[in-house]
Amino acid sequence: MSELSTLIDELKSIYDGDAWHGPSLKEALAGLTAEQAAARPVPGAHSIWELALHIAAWKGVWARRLEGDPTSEPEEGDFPAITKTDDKSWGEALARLDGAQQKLLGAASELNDSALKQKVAGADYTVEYMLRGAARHSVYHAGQISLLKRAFGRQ
Amino acid sequence: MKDYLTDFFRFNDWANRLVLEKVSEMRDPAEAVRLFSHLIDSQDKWMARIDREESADERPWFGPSYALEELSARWGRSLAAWIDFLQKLPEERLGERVHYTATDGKPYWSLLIDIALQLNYHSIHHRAQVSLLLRKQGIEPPFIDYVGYTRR
Repeated sequence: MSELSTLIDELKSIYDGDAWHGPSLKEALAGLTAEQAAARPVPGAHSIWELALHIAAWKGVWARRLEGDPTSEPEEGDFPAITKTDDKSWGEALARLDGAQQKLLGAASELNDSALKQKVAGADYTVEYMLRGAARHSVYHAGQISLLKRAFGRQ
Repeated sequence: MKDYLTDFFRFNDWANRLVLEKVSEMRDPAEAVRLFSHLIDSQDKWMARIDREESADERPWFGPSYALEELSARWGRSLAAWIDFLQKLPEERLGERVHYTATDGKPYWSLLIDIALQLNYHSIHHRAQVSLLLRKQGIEPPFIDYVGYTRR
Protein backbone atom coordinates (compact mmCIF):
# COMPACT_ATOMS: atom_id res chain seq x y z
CA MET A 1 0.00 0.00 0.00
CA SER A 2 1.39 3.43 -0.89
CA GLU A 3 2.13 6.04 1.73
CA LEU A 4 -0.57 8.28 0.28
CA SER A 5 -3.26 5.60 0.37
CA THR A 6 -2.32 4.74 3.98
CA LEU A 7 -2.68 8.39 4.89
CA ILE A 8 -6.01 8.73 3.08
CA ASP A 9 -7.24 5.62 4.91
CA GLU A 10 -6.27 7.23 8.21
CA LEU A 11 -8.14 10.43 7.31
CA LYS A 12 -11.21 8.35 6.40
CA SER A 13 -11.20 6.11 9.48
CA ILE A 14 -10.67 9.06 11.82
CA TYR A 15 -13.65 10.82 10.22
CA ASP A 16 -16.26 8.12 9.83
CA GLY A 17 -14.62 4.70 9.89
CA ASP A 18 -13.45 2.21 12.48
CA ALA A 19 -11.16 4.67 14.22
CA TRP A 20 -9.87 2.20 16.85
CA HIS A 21 -8.21 4.84 19.09
CA GLY A 22 -11.68 6.06 20.13
CA PRO A 23 -14.86 7.20 18.38
CA SER A 24 -14.55 8.58 14.86
CA LEU A 25 -15.52 12.22 14.51
CA LYS A 26 -18.91 11.31 12.98
CA GLU A 27 -19.52 8.81 15.75
CA ALA A 28 -18.71 11.47 18.35
CA LEU A 29 -21.16 13.88 16.66
CA ALA A 30 -23.96 11.34 16.16
CA GLY A 31 -27.33 11.72 17.86
CA LEU A 32 -26.86 15.22 19.18
CA THR A 33 -29.69 17.72 19.08
CA ALA A 34 -29.09 21.30 17.95
CA GLU A 35 -29.62 22.43 21.53
CA GLN A 36 -26.94 20.07 22.83
CA ALA A 37 -24.54 21.00 20.03
CA ALA A 38 -24.94 24.70 20.82
CA ALA A 39 -24.64 24.28 24.60
CA ARG A 40 -21.53 25.27 26.48
CA PRO A 41 -21.21 22.69 29.28
CA VAL A 42 -17.66 23.79 30.06
CA PRO A 43 -17.54 27.56 30.59
CA GLY A 44 -14.81 29.13 28.49
CA ALA A 45 -14.58 26.11 26.18
CA HIS A 46 -16.09 25.88 22.70
CA SER A 47 -19.47 24.27 22.03
CA ILE A 48 -19.66 21.10 19.94
CA TRP A 49 -21.23 23.15 17.14
CA GLU A 50 -18.32 25.60 17.15
CA LEU A 51 -15.86 22.71 17.07
CA ALA A 52 -17.68 21.07 14.12
CA LEU A 53 -17.55 24.29 12.09
CA HIS A 54 -13.92 24.87 13.10
CA ILE A 55 -12.95 21.42 11.81
CA ALA A 56 -14.93 21.98 8.59
CA ALA A 57 -13.28 25.37 8.05
CA TRP A 58 -9.78 23.92 8.39
CA LYS A 59 -10.51 20.93 6.20
CA GLY A 60 -11.51 23.50 3.59
CA VAL A 61 -8.19 25.32 4.00
CA TRP A 62 -6.18 22.11 3.68
CA ALA A 63 -8.12 21.11 0.56
CA ARG A 64 -7.50 24.50 -1.03
CA ARG A 65 -3.80 24.33 -0.19
CA LEU A 66 -3.60 20.92 -1.86
CA GLU A 67 -5.11 22.51 -4.93
CA GLY A 68 -2.29 25.09 -4.96
CA ASP A 69 -4.06 27.98 -3.24
CA PRO A 70 -1.67 29.39 -0.59
CA THR A 71 -4.54 30.27 1.75
CA SER A 72 -3.48 30.58 5.38
CA GLU A 73 -6.69 30.98 7.38
CA PRO A 74 -10.31 29.96 6.81
CA GLU A 75 -12.25 32.76 5.08
CA GLU A 76 -15.12 32.13 7.51
CA GLY A 77 -12.78 32.51 10.53
CA ASP A 78 -10.98 30.07 12.82
CA PHE A 79 -14.25 29.43 14.67
CA PRO A 80 -16.98 30.48 12.23
CA ALA A 81 -19.86 32.47 13.66
CA ILE A 82 -23.09 30.61 14.39
CA THR A 83 -26.11 32.74 13.55
CA LYS A 84 -28.98 30.31 14.12
CA THR A 85 -29.11 27.31 16.47
CA ASP A 86 -32.18 25.43 15.22
CA ASP A 87 -32.18 21.78 14.12
CA LYS A 88 -32.10 22.70 10.43
CA SER A 89 -28.97 24.80 10.92
CA TRP A 90 -27.30 21.99 12.88
CA GLY A 91 -28.06 19.65 9.98
CA GLU A 92 -26.50 22.19 7.63
CA ALA A 93 -23.41 22.44 9.85
CA LEU A 94 -22.97 18.65 9.72
CA ALA A 95 -23.47 18.73 5.94
CA ARG A 96 -20.81 21.44 5.71
CA LEU A 97 -18.44 19.19 7.63
CA ASP A 98 -19.20 16.25 5.32
CA GLY A 99 -18.65 18.48 2.28
CA ALA A 100 -15.30 19.69 3.62
CA GLN A 101 -14.19 16.13 4.33
CA GLN A 102 -15.10 15.06 0.80
CA LYS A 103 -13.29 18.07 -0.63
CA LEU A 104 -10.17 17.22 1.35
CA LEU A 105 -10.27 13.55 0.36
CA GLY A 106 -10.91 14.52 -3.26
CA ALA A 107 -7.91 16.86 -3.31
CA ALA A 108 -5.69 14.30 -1.53
CA SER A 109 -6.66 11.54 -3.96
CA GLU A 110 -5.30 13.65 -6.83
CA LEU A 111 -1.81 13.41 -5.30
CA ASN A 112 0.84 10.73 -5.44
CA ASP A 113 3.57 9.61 -3.04
CA SER A 114 6.15 12.03 -4.40
CA ALA A 115 3.74 14.96 -3.95
CA LEU A 116 3.69 14.16 -0.22
CA LYS A 117 7.31 15.28 0.01
CA GLN A 118 6.70 18.58 -1.76
CA LYS A 119 6.12 21.88 0.01
CA VAL A 120 2.57 23.08 0.53
CA ALA A 121 1.65 26.18 -1.48
CA GLY A 122 2.80 29.22 0.48
CA ALA A 123 4.13 27.21 3.43
CA ASP A 124 7.50 25.91 4.62
CA TYR A 125 6.29 22.38 5.39
CA THR A 126 5.46 19.37 3.26
CA VAL A 127 2.11 18.06 2.12
CA GLU A 128 2.68 14.98 4.28
CA TYR A 129 3.26 17.14 7.36
CA MET A 130 0.04 19.03 6.67
CA LEU A 131 -2.09 15.92 6.12
CA ARG A 132 -0.68 14.23 9.24
CA GLY A 133 -1.56 17.39 11.13
CA ALA A 134 -5.06 17.30 9.61
CA ALA A 135 -5.55 13.77 10.97
CA ARG A 136 -4.36 14.74 14.46
CA HIS A 137 -6.56 17.85 14.44
CA SER A 138 -9.72 15.78 13.97
CA VAL A 139 -8.65 13.24 16.60
CA TYR A 140 -8.01 16.01 19.11
CA HIS A 141 -11.38 17.69 18.64
CA ALA A 142 -13.28 14.38 18.51
CA GLY A 143 -11.76 13.68 21.93
CA GLN A 144 -13.12 16.99 23.23
CA ILE A 145 -16.54 16.37 21.66
CA SER A 146 -16.86 12.91 23.21
CA LEU A 147 -16.15 14.39 26.65
CA LEU A 148 -18.52 17.35 26.15
CA LYS A 149 -21.28 14.86 25.24
CA ARG A 150 -21.10 13.35 28.70
CA ALA A 151 -22.78 16.49 29.96
CA PHE A 152 -25.90 15.32 28.11
CA GLY A 153 -25.67 11.75 29.38
CA ARG A 154 -24.28 10.49 26.06
CA GLN A 155 -21.13 8.41 25.92
CA MET B 1 7.82 5.23 8.69
CA LYS B 2 9.77 4.07 11.74
CA ASP B 3 11.20 7.58 12.12
CA TYR B 4 7.74 9.05 11.74
CA LEU B 5 6.33 6.78 14.45
CA THR B 6 9.23 7.49 16.81
CA ASP B 7 8.67 11.21 16.29
CA PHE B 8 4.93 10.73 16.92
CA PHE B 9 5.69 9.01 20.26
CA ARG B 10 8.13 11.79 21.20
CA PHE B 11 5.60 14.48 20.30
CA ASN B 12 3.03 12.79 22.52
CA ASP B 13 5.59 12.54 25.30
CA TRP B 14 6.30 16.27 25.05
CA ALA B 15 2.61 17.20 24.96
CA ASN B 16 1.51 14.75 27.65
CA ARG B 17 4.17 15.94 30.05
CA LEU B 18 3.12 19.58 29.59
CA VAL B 19 -0.47 18.60 30.30
CA LEU B 20 0.56 16.47 33.27
CA GLU B 21 2.30 19.45 34.87
CA LYS B 22 -1.02 21.28 34.79
CA VAL B 23 -2.90 18.26 36.16
CA SER B 24 -0.90 18.63 39.36
CA GLU B 25 -2.54 22.07 39.79
CA MET B 26 -6.08 20.67 39.60
CA ARG B 27 -8.22 20.76 42.74
CA ASP B 28 -9.83 17.48 41.64
CA PRO B 29 -7.46 15.58 39.35
CA ALA B 30 -9.16 12.14 39.70
CA GLU B 31 -10.60 11.90 36.15
CA ALA B 32 -7.46 13.31 34.52
CA VAL B 33 -5.35 10.82 36.51
CA ARG B 34 -7.68 8.00 35.44
CA LEU B 35 -7.24 8.96 31.76
CA PHE B 36 -3.46 9.23 32.07
CA SER B 37 -3.33 5.86 33.84
CA HIS B 38 -5.39 4.42 30.97
CA LEU B 39 -2.89 5.76 28.42
CA ILE B 40 -0.05 4.05 30.30
CA ASP B 41 -1.98 0.80 30.71
CA SER B 42 -2.87 0.76 27.00
CA GLN B 43 0.70 1.31 25.85
CA ASP B 44 1.94 -1.35 28.28
CA LYS B 45 -0.74 -3.86 27.28
CA TRP B 46 0.11 -3.57 23.60
CA MET B 47 3.82 -3.89 24.33
CA ALA B 48 3.10 -6.99 26.45
CA ARG B 49 1.17 -8.47 23.50
CA ILE B 50 4.08 -7.76 21.19
CA ASP B 51 6.43 -9.37 23.73
CA ARG B 52 4.04 -12.36 23.88
CA GLU B 53 3.72 -12.01 27.61
CA GLU B 54 1.48 -14.85 28.77
CA SER B 55 -0.98 -12.66 30.69
CA ALA B 56 -0.94 -9.78 28.18
CA ASP B 57 -4.58 -10.22 27.15
CA GLU B 58 -5.71 -10.19 30.80
CA ARG B 59 -4.08 -6.83 31.47
CA PRO B 60 -6.79 -4.20 31.97
CA TRP B 61 -7.31 -1.22 29.65
CA PHE B 62 -8.53 0.73 32.66
CA GLY B 63 -6.78 -0.58 35.75
CA PRO B 64 -6.87 1.18 39.11
CA SER B 65 -5.56 4.72 38.72
CA TYR B 66 -1.93 5.33 39.59
CA ALA B 67 -1.01 8.00 42.11
CA LEU B 68 -0.58 11.41 40.52
CA GLU B 69 3.04 11.56 41.73
CA GLU B 70 3.79 8.24 40.00
CA LEU B 71 2.37 9.17 36.60
CA SER B 72 5.40 10.92 35.17
CA ALA B 73 7.79 8.04 35.93
CA ARG B 74 5.32 5.36 34.83
CA TRP B 75 4.58 7.23 31.61
CA GLY B 76 8.33 7.60 31.01
CA ARG B 77 8.93 3.86 31.42
CA SER B 78 6.01 2.98 29.17
CA LEU B 79 7.18 5.37 26.47
CA ALA B 80 10.83 4.30 26.73
CA ALA B 81 9.80 0.69 26.04
CA TRP B 82 8.08 1.78 22.80
CA ILE B 83 10.90 4.05 21.63
CA ASP B 84 13.46 1.35 22.37
CA PHE B 85 11.36 -1.24 20.56
CA LEU B 86 10.98 0.95 17.47
CA GLN B 87 14.65 1.87 17.38
CA LYS B 88 15.69 -1.80 17.33
CA LEU B 89 12.98 -2.88 14.90
CA PRO B 90 13.96 -3.29 11.24
CA GLU B 91 11.66 -1.12 9.09
CA GLU B 92 10.22 -4.10 7.22
CA ARG B 93 8.93 -5.66 10.44
CA LEU B 94 6.41 -2.82 10.87
CA GLY B 95 4.12 -4.82 8.61
CA GLU B 96 4.19 -7.89 10.88
CA ARG B 97 1.07 -9.22 12.55
CA VAL B 98 0.60 -9.21 16.31
CA HIS B 99 -1.81 -11.92 17.48
CA TYR B 100 -3.98 -11.50 20.55
CA THR B 101 -7.30 -12.38 22.13
CA ALA B 102 -9.64 -9.42 22.51
CA THR B 103 -12.08 -8.78 25.37
CA ASP B 104 -14.77 -10.70 23.44
CA GLY B 105 -12.60 -13.83 23.77
CA LYS B 106 -11.98 -14.08 20.02
CA PRO B 107 -8.55 -14.22 18.36
CA TYR B 108 -7.47 -11.23 16.28
CA TRP B 109 -4.34 -9.83 14.72
CA SER B 110 -3.20 -6.31 13.99
CA LEU B 111 -0.22 -4.90 12.15
CA LEU B 112 2.57 -3.42 14.26
CA ILE B 113 2.37 -0.19 12.30
CA ASP B 114 -1.36 0.17 13.01
CA ILE B 115 -0.87 -0.54 16.71
CA ALA B 116 1.80 2.15 16.97
CA LEU B 117 -0.33 4.65 15.05
CA GLN B 118 -3.50 4.01 17.02
CA LEU B 119 -1.67 4.32 20.36
CA ASN B 120 -0.55 7.79 19.36
CA TYR B 121 -3.98 8.88 18.15
CA HIS B 122 -5.35 7.40 21.38
CA SER B 123 -2.96 9.65 23.31
CA ILE B 124 -4.17 12.73 21.41
CA HIS B 125 -7.81 11.73 21.95
CA HIS B 126 -7.49 11.51 25.74
CA ARG B 127 -5.09 14.43 26.02
CA ALA B 128 -7.79 16.61 24.45
CA GLN B 129 -10.15 15.40 27.17
CA VAL B 130 -7.66 16.15 29.94
CA SER B 131 -7.17 19.65 28.47
CA LEU B 132 -10.92 20.18 28.62
CA LEU B 133 -11.00 18.95 32.24
CA LEU B 134 -8.27 21.49 33.03
CA ARG B 135 -10.37 24.27 31.53
CA LYS B 136 -13.40 23.04 33.46
CA GLN B 137 -11.45 23.63 36.65
CA GLY B 138 -10.34 27.09 35.57
CA ILE B 139 -6.84 26.13 34.42
CA GLU B 140 -5.65 27.27 30.98
CA PRO B 141 -4.39 24.19 29.09
CA PRO B 142 -0.82 24.42 27.75
CA PHE B 143 -0.09 25.03 24.06
CA ILE B 144 0.54 21.54 22.74
CA ASP B 145 0.18 21.81 18.97
CA TYR B 146 2.73 19.85 16.95
CA VAL B 147 4.17 23.12 15.68
CA GLY B 148 5.10 23.94 19.30
CA TYR B 149 6.94 20.63 19.54
CA THR B 150 8.91 21.30 16.37
CA ARG B 151 9.89 24.80 17.60
CA ARG B 152 11.41 23.59 20.89
